[in-house]
Amino acid sequence: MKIPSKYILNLIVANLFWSFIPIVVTGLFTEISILTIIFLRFLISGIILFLTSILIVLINNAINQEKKISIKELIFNLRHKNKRFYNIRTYNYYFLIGFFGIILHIIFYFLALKKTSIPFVMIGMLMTVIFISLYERGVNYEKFDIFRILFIMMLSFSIIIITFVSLQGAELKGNPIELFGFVYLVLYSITGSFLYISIDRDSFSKKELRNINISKYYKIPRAMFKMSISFISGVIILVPISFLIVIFPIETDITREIVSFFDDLPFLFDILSRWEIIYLIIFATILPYLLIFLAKVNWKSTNLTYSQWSSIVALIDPISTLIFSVLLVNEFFPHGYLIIVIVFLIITIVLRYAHEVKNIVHAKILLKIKKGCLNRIPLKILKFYGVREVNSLIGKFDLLLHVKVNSIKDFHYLINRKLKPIDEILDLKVQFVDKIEDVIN
Amino acid sequence: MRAIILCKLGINVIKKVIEELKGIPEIKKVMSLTGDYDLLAEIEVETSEELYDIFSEKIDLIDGIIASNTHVIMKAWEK
Repeated sequence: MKIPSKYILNLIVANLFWSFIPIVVTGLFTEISILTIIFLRFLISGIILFLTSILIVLINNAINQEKKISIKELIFNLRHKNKRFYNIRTYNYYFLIGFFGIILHIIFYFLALKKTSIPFVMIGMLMTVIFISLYERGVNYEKFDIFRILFIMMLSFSIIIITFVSLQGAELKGNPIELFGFVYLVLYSITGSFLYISIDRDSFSKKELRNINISKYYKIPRAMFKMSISFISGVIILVPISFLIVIFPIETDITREIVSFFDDLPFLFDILSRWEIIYLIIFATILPYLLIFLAKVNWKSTNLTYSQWSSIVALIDPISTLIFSVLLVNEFFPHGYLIIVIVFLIITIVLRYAHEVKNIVHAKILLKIKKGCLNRIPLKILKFYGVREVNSLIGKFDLLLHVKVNSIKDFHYLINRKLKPIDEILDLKVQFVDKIEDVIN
Repeated sequence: MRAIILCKLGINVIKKVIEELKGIPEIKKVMSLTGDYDLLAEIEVETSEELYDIFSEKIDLIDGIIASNTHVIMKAWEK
């Protein structure tokens, strides 16, 4: 089995960068509004990612005259309808991810951090994994195999231990965990689940697929462009929404944060020069995303897909946050319990890996197509979810599709709802891949 | 130049055939399949003549391959 270790390392490092976020930001909460931190982090990161994506395109176009990337295509793609996400326009899809998946998600994360403790908030990350599993069960009809049942049990045990220890710690500190803290944590898990479920439901237009096949590096500026638009649109909409919320006479934690955000506005440049904000922008946003984009573009795994590995290693974030919060900021968490939780979470990672490997559907599909369609059919098929590569052949068949999907339901959908309705396909033969042999040649 | 060779195999020969295919330096990928074919091998050669030579002198002689179907890859689109 080949594992793209170099790029898995990218994912691990990105998660490690993220694991320092609570340690870095908790000190800021007494001085700066949560909304100010989020506003600065995502606005500046969005602008930097946007400018970097344009710069990469310009450098590429100057070096590779034959493999030019079109900035126009990058912008025009925003109008393309995303068939994998309710057929809405791409700019709307980016905005939904930006506002609900990123901005609201982080607002609830920071509110939960402020109201509870770092270890307690890690429950939210674990709950997110459980929510996504339940969603996959309900919507994708994925089976609850033994690995999935076991990893949900491991997560549940970890949640119980963390809750028990956090309540003990709160009592010792005389700083009880508020009910609202738990409510924010649940909201954080819900928005986090939305983010994880929707972030990979992106679709390429035909023109973009053509661009990718001219230059595979097209995907890097495209991914940066996607994140920058999500960040910037999410942050921009935050301002009018804040005005609307503050009009309501009910005083909540969010209203207080909004008022404090407006108070912070004249001092934005001073706040921006603080090392914590610089860490958040560079090490917790730009660098991790660059590492992730590089991994995504160069992913050549013969086993699991990028998104599967990404969800498996995502548990490194709560593990390292727990460790660092105990070691660096002396959060209350007796070492015995800490070791038990870490062991449970490592077992969860292994079980999730086993679950993903067991459920993946890997197949080769051979197609015979009508005469005169070779120019348009491959790119049309390449757009479908799960189709990773299309080869044009000389022989008995005309096309070979390399397919990898996460469940048999996705595979069924591809064959029966996507491929079979295409009139130009005359014959279709499915070959399931049982095993890929290690060839050293 | 890349080509794929789809093979139908006899009973209880898959391991032996895989080992023999793996011994051919031009074969870059071998995977066992479930479907009309039992095995897929991907081969990388410089010319069609080289493809013919390897096929006729090595692959065609492997015991256990009942039938094969070779396709030359003209172009590949990736995502």
